[in-house]
Amino acid sequence: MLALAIALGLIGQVGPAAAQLPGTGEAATAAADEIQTAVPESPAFTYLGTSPAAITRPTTLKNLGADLLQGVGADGQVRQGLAFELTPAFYLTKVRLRDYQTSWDKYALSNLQLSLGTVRSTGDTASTDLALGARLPFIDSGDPLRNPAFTDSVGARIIAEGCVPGNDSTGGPPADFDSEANATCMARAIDSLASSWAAEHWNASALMLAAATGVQLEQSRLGERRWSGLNLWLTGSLGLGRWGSLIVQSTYADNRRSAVDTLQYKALRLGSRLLVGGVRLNGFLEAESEFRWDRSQAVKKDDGQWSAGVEFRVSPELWLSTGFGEPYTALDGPDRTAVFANLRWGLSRKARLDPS
Amino acid sequence: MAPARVDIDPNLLTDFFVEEETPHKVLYKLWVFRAGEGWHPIGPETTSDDRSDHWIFTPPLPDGSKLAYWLGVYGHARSTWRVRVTVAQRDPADPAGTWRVRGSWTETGVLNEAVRGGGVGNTPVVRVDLT
Repeated sequence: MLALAIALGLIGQVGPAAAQLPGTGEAATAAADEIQTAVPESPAFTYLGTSPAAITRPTTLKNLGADLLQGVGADGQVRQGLAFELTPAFYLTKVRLRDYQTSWDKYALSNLQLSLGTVRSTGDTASTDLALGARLPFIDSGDPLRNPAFTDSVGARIIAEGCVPGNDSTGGPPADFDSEANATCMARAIDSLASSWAAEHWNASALMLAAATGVQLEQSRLGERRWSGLNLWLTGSLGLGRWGSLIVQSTYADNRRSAVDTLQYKALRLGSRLLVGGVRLNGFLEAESEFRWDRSQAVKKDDGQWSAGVEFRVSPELWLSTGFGEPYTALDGPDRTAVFANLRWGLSRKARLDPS
Repeated sequence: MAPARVDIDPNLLTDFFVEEETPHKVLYKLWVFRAGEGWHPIGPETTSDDRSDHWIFTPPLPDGSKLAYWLGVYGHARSTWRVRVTVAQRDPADPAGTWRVRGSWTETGVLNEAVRGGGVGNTPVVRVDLT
């Protein structure tokens, strides 16, 4: 399987479990952050290369309209720094939990997420880049909300732990009910359920699509715009028993954000990652290749990299690890290191690469 | 958002419905105060299970009666939830058919990332006068 992953010359990290589930471990997440090929949670922001500190998520169409209007100044110029996320199904239809669990189209529709953002254009403070993104999961077998037994157990656990308001002496609602403290109680009540779900579904199979496109607004005016490109992401993951996960991703980019023609190009990136998690062995192996065309000499033709890390449990409190590449070095450092057979080995009291 | 009061006919059956409109697990508790009698707590219950979330109160519910409720929600972290609460009465001329919705409104909110990968939230105890 390792050889297969290398032969594919691919790299990737699937998004849905990491986005929605208690499941993706810190080690795997750290590795994914280095690679930056996961289906983005907010495609518009990824497209713009920004991480907004605050994202507006309007809860009504009225609020959405008002917020969007506020994004355009009285002078007709679009404000920079806008960041919106919304799920159209929330405004347009009703999807009950039972429908979500039994109907694929309602599941997909209710998870369709749109994102909208603006940033200052590179090299031109007066102009604004505006992007619109969409994210759609086709399959996510690790979504706990799709499992009736799990959601029923969540409700039962919260009630069993008493995280609901009681009655006053007359049988009526309590006058001093503290909803914030109760939310904390609810979170604690179901934490062990969430942890168990995460452990059992860390490598759940999933398939997800995301897209983003945008325009550059000259002088930040909507009427003076040019198309700035398109990004598409498609990621699939396949659980391998209880021990592993194979993730494959392709990314297409038509990059026209730069006003300089010589920096515009098209690219297709293919990547794959193999994650392994077990009692005695953890590790990952990943590789990617990017192919570029419609480019000038200023843009590098093709690119690629690979990375790997593996660790073994020597004793119940001693793990021996080694690896290559930035994703590996981005992990928490070992307690001690040693060089043997031209490899740097780390010694740790706990697992560093555990993907679960 | 709940209205301060809902006008009902005190001499008809009064029906209460709780229904989630987004894919979230909802827990709820109702209290109905019959003027001159006292509070009747209902629940805690959950939606999207095998039990109905339709509650019927026999008349009378005279002026001064009240409804109170609490909602607890579990779902995807940072997701926006919406739950509809409805007060309705049957048309006395067609008690098996026509509904007269006396009041219907939604509670909404955005879940925090309170649980690893998931979110929980809840409302205060909301009180509505039935007049």
